[in-house]
Amino acid sequence: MYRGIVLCSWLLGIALIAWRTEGLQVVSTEGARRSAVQQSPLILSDWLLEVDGSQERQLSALSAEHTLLVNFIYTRCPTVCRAQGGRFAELQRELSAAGRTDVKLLSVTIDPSRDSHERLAAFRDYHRGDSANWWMVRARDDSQLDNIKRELGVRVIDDSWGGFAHTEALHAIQDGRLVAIIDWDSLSQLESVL
Amino acid sequence: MISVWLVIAAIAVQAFTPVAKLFESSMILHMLVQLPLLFFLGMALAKARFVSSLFRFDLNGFVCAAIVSTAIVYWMLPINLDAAIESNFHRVLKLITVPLSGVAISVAWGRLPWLFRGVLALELWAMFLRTGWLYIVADEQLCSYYLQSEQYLVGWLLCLVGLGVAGGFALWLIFGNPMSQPQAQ
Repeated sequence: MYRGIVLCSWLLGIALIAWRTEGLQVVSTEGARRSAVQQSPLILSDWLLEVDGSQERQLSALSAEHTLLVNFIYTRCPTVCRAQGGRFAELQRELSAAGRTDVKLLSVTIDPSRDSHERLAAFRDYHRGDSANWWMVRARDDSQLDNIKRELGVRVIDDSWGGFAHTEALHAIQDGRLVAIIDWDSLSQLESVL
Repeated sequence: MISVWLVIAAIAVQAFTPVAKLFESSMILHMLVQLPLLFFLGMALAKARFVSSLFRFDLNGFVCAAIVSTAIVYWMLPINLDAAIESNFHRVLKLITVPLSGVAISVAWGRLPWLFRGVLALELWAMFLRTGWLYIVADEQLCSYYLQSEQYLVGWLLCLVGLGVAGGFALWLIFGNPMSQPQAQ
């Protein structure tokens, strides 16, 4: 009897850890999210987005016509966003060369109070991006931005230097669904999405 | 008996928002202050006879050892630290299971065969070193609410704690236990 209880307690403990880490594959919330998206795409709300200072566009309309690759930036960012801007411009050139006009790159600002459309456009120009298929986006308001961050699982925290530490990954959206979260150092995963 | 209720109150107060937010505001406070504090409060609870008698059935302490091992691994994982911040269910789960593991180690220590005490002690400090190493070598932010720079610092501190525990056990093996056993039965 006692041996049975001991065995059960250890098996339960091991099962709990194995379940929580998806078989020791996932240790972070971000990892769990990527794994969940990989298994089944997440349906997103129909966000209202200000694209390049134009009128508000709905996510459903944008993502029905195009595959959207979304990243998050803020123009004051001295490090990560600048590197991402360069990579985005490079990715844009590669997609243009491959004739993929159906793919649009979206940079969403996480600091809409400071990032006007002019500043966002200047950010893109700095990286010699092309407004034809790299769109700078502001959420309509803070609650909309919170909604976008929550649904995509984007983490934004103060970096204690007056800026933000935030998710660097690319979020692939098709037909109003988040279909993949891709790291910059594993861009080969893009092929399976595109 | 009053002191037992004081200990329970000290645990329960951590469920309330201001105290919870204080501990959760930094990774160092969360992992290296609150979790050990809850663990030691659990060990203090084990001194009450009615608490340790809950494990009367655990003749050789192996069930308690399973509880301790599971709880330590569980609360070292970044995904569960995030969950404890995001969900009240996980916050309460932390306030129950970490003190419970403190109770369990006190009970198990007096009952486990000496070899298994060694295994449990080894598992304890090895877990600190493993998790510390994970936090040091990870090239990304693992906890959603804590900066990578703090994660790196916590990694080193966990390794120091692991080495400290290992050194403590080594000294104990060589020179004997300077304190009385937590639970002599």
